[in-house]
Amino acid sequence: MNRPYHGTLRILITAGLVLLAAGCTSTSLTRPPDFNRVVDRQPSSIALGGIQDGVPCDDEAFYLQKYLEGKRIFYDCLLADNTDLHAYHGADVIVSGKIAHGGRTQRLGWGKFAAIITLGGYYFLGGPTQKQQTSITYNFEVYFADTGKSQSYLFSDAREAYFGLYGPGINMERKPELYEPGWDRLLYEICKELQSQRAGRMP
Amino acid sequence: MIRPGCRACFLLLLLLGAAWMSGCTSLPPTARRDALFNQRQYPEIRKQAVDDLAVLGQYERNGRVDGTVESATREYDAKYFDMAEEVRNLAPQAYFDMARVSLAVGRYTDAIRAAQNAIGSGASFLEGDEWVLLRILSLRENHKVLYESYLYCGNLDKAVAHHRQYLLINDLVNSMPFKKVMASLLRIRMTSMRLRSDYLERKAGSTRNQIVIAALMVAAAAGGASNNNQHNNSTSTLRALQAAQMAQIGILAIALLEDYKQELKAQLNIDLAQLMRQAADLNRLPKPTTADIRRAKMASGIYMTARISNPANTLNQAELSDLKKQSDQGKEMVSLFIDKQGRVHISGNLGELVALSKRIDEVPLRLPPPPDEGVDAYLDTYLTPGLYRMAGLQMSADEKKFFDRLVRRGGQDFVIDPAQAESQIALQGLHKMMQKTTEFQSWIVDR
Repeated sequence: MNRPYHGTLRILITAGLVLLAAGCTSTSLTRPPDFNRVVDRQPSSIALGGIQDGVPCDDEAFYLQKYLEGKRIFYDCLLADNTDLHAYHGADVIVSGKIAHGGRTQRLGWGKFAAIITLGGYYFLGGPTQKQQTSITYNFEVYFADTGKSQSYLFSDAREAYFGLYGPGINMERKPELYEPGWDRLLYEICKELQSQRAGRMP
Repeated sequence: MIRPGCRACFLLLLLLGAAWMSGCTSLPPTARRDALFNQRQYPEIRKQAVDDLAVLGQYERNGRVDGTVESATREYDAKYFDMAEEVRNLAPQAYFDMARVSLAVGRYTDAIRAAQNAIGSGASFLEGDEWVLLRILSLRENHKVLYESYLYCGNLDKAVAHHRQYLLINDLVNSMPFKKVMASLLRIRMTSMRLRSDYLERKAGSTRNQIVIAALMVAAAAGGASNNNQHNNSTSTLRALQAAQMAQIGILAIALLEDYKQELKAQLNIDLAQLMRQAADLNRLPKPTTADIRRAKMASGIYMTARISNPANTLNQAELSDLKKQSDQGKEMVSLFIDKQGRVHISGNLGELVALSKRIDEVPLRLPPPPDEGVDAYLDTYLTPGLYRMAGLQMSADEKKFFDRLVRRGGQDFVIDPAQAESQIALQGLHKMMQKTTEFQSWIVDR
């Protein structure tokens, strides 16, 4: 058998395994299987109340408004007056809530060791040298004008990524894209509820 | 060896690059968005403003406005006075831009929220003495937006309260002491920009020299090392000198504003700190008086239009009675039904509803001219919250075009698919027409 061929093959397999391990990422908040069927046009107007987050200004509400307008599910998406959510707009749905975001990054000792013993080859191939964990908790309160009742929705998104030189495979901290899975889930729940309410009113 | 001609070109390019990087030729976000606002490019302004708000996350991590801040479009180094001004004003200005765009397109609650946020973020980012002038200007323009937005939402009390604050701050801004201190502050800002460009230019020059020397060191090691040391020393001396000059600028700005505050107290008997505190405390604004209400109504666009209107064009009683009769049938003109696919079916006489809506739009523009005396009675009779709400529900040009097209097509049944781009225009327009008819009905009852 050809020894140089075996040697090259082993190197390629090792490099491939390192590359495979490099972008290991996971996220716990995934789309429900019937997402595309449930999230459909709902000709209603939706108003956003206070969306609290770690920053002392209203930026999450503006990002959420931009996201919802892009989805074209509702015919109007506006911001409610914080002093009186129901004033001025006659919205069908009013969303308020809180988004809490935290995380930590730790360096992997074995990754550093591998980088040293391979003289940086492991590092430049993108072998993982850091582990980052991010957790986002969404706590939304949604008021439906048709029934006059509020419902609470609580979602958690736990993300974990092992990465090296080339960064994590998924968004770990960049807003507002980081929050889209939570907003997708919120949209799904609102559409499901609206469909169920309207089904009762169909002639 | 580098040829002299190529070396000169390289040096020129570096100097140009340094001048460009220094920001001498770049416009601040405010100037760019002002130009876009004049061109009515509202979606672009909104997009830029929302992108700029991403800096808020950096303040959360740093805990304070300091060091280098990256926005969507550029990087700011807060140790330079002019850049520190810009970066601190980034969030308040972004919120204000969103507020004025929302007001311009008739989204009043969005404008209210954005203006409230602008005032709130001004309280945290513009709280130091050096930023008092920026804060005053921000308060003035946001109170104006709040006044107009609340007015067209029909909330007279809040509109008048904000109008009062706007007038107080406007008097301050138009005073001579304010203009004098603004002129001095502009000189300080220009000095800071010049220092920054000078520093960056020298840094670029010294960096280029270091590159050349490092290249020469490869050929002749001993001579290059001593030159490198000299350049390191000169860069750190330069940095220390710049830091001293920038500290002086900060002190000068504060001293200037202290003089201004003393002058305000002496000449106009205004306690600036108290005035700004009051203007920023939105939940505890003083209750408006009758005089404030009169002033706020007389400052509105509807009153100004009535003052210059042609008396021959005024709505007479017959026309008003006819409109009232039509509006009573308004709710029965069309009916809506939403099918399982989410499509909206409109059936009825849409043409009549559109025509009624256009006539109601004319009502605020065809009021009788106000009398010279007894203005209060005129204001109470005609300029009611209901009238302002009606005026605030004016259809946009796109909505008018859409419905004119539908009506020209004819027919009694229409289907609107919310997935289509125009569906939002259609549904918002319908919503406005129906709401306007209701507002008109309650307004006409009191005539």
